[in-house]
Amino acid sequence: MGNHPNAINIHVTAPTELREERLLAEKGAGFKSVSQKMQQADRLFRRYASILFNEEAQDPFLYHLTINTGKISTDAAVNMIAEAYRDHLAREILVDTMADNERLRFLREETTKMKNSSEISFAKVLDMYHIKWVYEPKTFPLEWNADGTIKKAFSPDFFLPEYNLYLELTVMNPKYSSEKKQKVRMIQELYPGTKVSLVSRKDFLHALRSLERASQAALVSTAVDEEQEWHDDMIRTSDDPLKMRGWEA
Amino acid sequence: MTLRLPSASEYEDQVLFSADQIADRMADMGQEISLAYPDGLLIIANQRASLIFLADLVRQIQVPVDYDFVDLGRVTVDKETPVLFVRQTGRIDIKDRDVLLLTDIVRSGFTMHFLMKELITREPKSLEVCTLLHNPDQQLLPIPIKFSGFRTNEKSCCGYGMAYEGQGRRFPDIVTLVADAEEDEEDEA
Repeated sequence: MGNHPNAINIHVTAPTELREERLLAEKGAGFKSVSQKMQQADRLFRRYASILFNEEAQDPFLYHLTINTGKISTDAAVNMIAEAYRDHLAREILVDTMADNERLRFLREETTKMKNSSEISFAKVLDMYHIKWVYEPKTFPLEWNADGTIKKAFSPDFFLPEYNLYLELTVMNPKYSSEKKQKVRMIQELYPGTKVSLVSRKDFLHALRSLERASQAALVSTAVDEEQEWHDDMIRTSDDPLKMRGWEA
Repeated sequence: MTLRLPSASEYEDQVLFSADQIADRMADMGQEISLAYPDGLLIIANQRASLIFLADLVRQIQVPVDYDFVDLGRVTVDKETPVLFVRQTGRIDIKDRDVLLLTDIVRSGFTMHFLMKELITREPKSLEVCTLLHNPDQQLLPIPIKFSGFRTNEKSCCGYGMAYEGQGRRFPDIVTLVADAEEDEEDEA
């Protein structure tokens, strides 16, 4: 659970004497037996952390929070953990956002020199939906000259490794669209098993609208939007189709 | 080209799937789902658009069924990089449950990819997709669709819980939107 995105890691501790006292009160066994069991449990936990994670169990950087119940009441500890969890959820969103920012910056400025703005926009859509992609990772030779040099080749825009699928945008001139369809057919003939899908202009615009909607939306405005939408839905117009069909009676 | 809801006189011609057709299909789907999940299931419905679909479908399922909702939340730090996250309203634990993710329509499969990726981290016993409308020709990501109500076309539609710009959810039929051609430059001049 150390790196699970929804987990927070809490280390609860207390001075040895206090832990022994608590165990004695709870278990009612002899002091020696309790002390031995506690030391054994501590040893096992240290081994567990060391063997499984190659980490020192006491390392404070493994935990979101370390609480000493020798100095903090149980109620206060519970409140601290609840607050830490709420804070973690909020931070998770911000951290994700920062990671996405970095990825996009990297995409635009460093490795990926995209040919046009449509491709950049589509990459943002894929990023938004957490779909992994690689830009033009492979060129497929389609025709060869007599001397063996490549006459015609095709590099699909995106490769989605999670689906072993190539995507090619066809949002520009329809003339290029039919050309691309032909190239996709050739890839499938020459390279059996290679999956290539064409993203039509309509699909591209649909995806772009989802990006625009998300860009304009904000957490604080969601409730207001929903209320307004509900209100709008309630508005009856004089040209109401349902009235004509008699459903409004 | 701009889209709009059909007017009263256009409505009948725009009906893609009538209320009667939908009711028949819900009964069939309820049986299919009951057979596939004899020990019961948990339905997670995606957003408000699938509310009426969910309400009609669960009443046709003959095995134990519970349901909850998820919604896509969005935050933006700057306008270029929106980040989606999943909001589950009822917070039913899906761990070790047979889960059916219910949605109004699957087009590209992007939303399903995002939701499934998120839900799978919560360790359900099984996770499948059930959609009211499905257009396989538009589906880009090869996400398997276990149950599908109707195969649809590329036309945008509304009704039966689905809205276009906040309107049309209450239509009992699924209707296609009307496309108005933009006036050409000569007409505008």
